[in-house]
Amino acid sequence: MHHPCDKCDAKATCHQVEIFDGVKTISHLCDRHAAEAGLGAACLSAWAPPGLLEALQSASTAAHPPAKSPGMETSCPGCGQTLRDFHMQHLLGCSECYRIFEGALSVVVERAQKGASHHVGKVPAAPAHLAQQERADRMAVLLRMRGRLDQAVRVEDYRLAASLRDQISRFEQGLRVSLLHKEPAP
Amino acid sequence: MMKNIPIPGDLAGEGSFCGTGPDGDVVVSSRVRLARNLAGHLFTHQASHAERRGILDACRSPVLELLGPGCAGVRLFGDPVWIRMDSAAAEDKQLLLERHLISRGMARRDREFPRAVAAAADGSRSVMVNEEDHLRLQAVFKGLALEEAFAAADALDDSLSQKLELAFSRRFGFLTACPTNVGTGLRAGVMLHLPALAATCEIEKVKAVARDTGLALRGLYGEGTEPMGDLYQISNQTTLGRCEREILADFSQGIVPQVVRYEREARAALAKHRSLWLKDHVRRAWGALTHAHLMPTKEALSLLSQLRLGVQTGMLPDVSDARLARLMFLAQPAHLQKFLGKRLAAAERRQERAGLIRDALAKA
Ligand SMILES: [Zn+2]
Ligand SMILES: [Zn+2]
Repeated sequence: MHHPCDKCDAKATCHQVEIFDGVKTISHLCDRHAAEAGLGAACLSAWAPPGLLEALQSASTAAHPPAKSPGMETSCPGCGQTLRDFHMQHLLGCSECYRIFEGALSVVVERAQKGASHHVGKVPAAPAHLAQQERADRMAVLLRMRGRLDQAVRVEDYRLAASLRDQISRFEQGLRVSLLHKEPAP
Repeated sequence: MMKNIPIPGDLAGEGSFCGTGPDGDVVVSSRVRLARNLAGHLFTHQASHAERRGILDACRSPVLELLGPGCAGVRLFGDPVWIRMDSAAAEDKQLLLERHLISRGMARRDREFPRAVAAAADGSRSVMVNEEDHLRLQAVFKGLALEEAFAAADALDDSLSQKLELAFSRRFGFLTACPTNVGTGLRAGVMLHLPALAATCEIEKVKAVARDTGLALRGLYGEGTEPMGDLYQISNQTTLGRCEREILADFSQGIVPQVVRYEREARAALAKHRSLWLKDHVRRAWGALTHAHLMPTKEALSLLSQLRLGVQTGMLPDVSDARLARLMFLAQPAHLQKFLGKRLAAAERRQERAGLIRDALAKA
C-alpha cells in the first residue's frame, strides 16, 4: 500500500504514528513535508505501517523461524494482545509479549534499531545468581554469533561476515564495559 | 487567580535554570531519559484504570524518596513535588511542558487518566509515571553536561531498581511498550541554539551529519515540532545493541563538539564577511523588541535569538547573553504567566510579553 502525503500528492515516505489513550493518529508525509514538520530523520519510516505487517507475516511463516512463531491471531497469555493488535497500535501489551512473539518481534526490533538484536549495557541491580545467569546467557549469545561468523566465512559471504565481525566486536566491548561498570550490588 | 503549585527550578536571576551553563553560547541544555517498566504489570496503555492507579500508587513513595534531599548520592535541596496530571491546571501542564518535565502526550487532555510527574525541587531530576512506559526517569542540566545528566539519571535508576522490580529480558534489555525504546531505554538529547547556522541555511548540513551518526535533529518541543528561536534538539534514534557509554560517545566525541565548532565558525564568518547584514539584522530585532507593544511567542523567540546572535558576535557589548537566554524561557506562554503571577488570555499575553521584554532590555 502506498499512501500519498497528507499535505500534497507526492508519495509519503514518512509515517508517524501517535497513540494517545487508545486514540491513534497516523500521519503520512512526503520527504519535503516531513522535513518541514521537523520529522526528517526522526521519522522511523523503516518501522512504520507499510511493510510492517508483511514483515510480521513473513517472520511468522518463515521456513526456518528463529523461534517458535505464533500466527497473527495468537494472543499473549500475559495481556491478550495479538501480533495483529501490535501491528495496529505499535505498542506491546506487556513484557511477556517480548517472549511470546520473540521470533516475529526480532524482525521488527532489528528494523527499528538499525540491525541491533541484542541488549548490550546496563542490567538492573539484582541478586548475584541472576547476574551470573545473565553473564552465562550473553556468553552463549557471543558463541552463537561467532558460530555464524565461521559459517559466513566458510560460504564466502563476506558482507555478512564483515557485519557479524562488527557486531561481535561491539558486543564484546559492551560485555566488557558492562561487567566493568555494572557489577551488580550483592 | 493562579493556583500556586510549586514549580521545580526557580525563574529568578541569571544563575537560575533559565540561565546559561557550560558552552552555553550554543548548548542550552543536556537531557537524559531512561524508559522503565515495572515487572508483572501490563504496559500503561493496555492496563485497566484500576491497574494504572495501582501503578501510580506503587511508584509514588519510592519515586519521591529518590528525588528528596540527600538521595541518589547527591545533595538535593528542598522537597520534591508530585503533580497529578488528572488534576493539574492546563497552564501548569503547559509550564511543565515548556520546562521539558513532561511530554506532549502527558500535557494533553483526559482528566481521568492517572498520571503524574515527580520532580526534585530544582527541576534537575524528574520521573514521569504512567506515560507510554510506567516510568520515565529524566535528568536535565543546563549547558553541555550530558555526562552529568547521565550520571544523575543512572543513579536514579540504580536506586529505583533496589526498590521496584523492573521488566528486563536478557535478550532485549529493559522492556518498553514500544520496541523503539527497548534495550537501554536511553534517550539522550542536547538542546542547541544555532542562529548562525540557521541564518546561513546550513541546518540541513547539521541534519545530514546527525543522520550519518544515527541521531535525529528535532524542533524545540521534540519530535514533530517546528523549530522556534533557532532552537534544535539532537537525540539518539536507537536504544538497542550498544551500551550507554557508546550511545553518549556519539554526542560527546562526535556531533556535539562538531556542531558547536560549526556554529561558532558560522558566527565569526557572519561578523567578518556579512557585517552589514548582521548589523541590520540585529538592530532590527533590537528595534522591534524595544518598541513593540504586542509580541507573539514565536516572534519573540525569533527576535531574541537574533539579539543573542548580536551579543555572541560582539555587536551588543552591553547586553548579557545569560539574560537573553533567560528571556527566551520567560517569553514562553506558561513561563510568562507564572513569572507575572497571573492568568492571561492570549491577547493579554502578547501585550505583557512585549512589556516584560521592553523592561528587561531597557535595563540591559
Ligand atoms: Zn507533501
Ligand atoms: Zn503481552
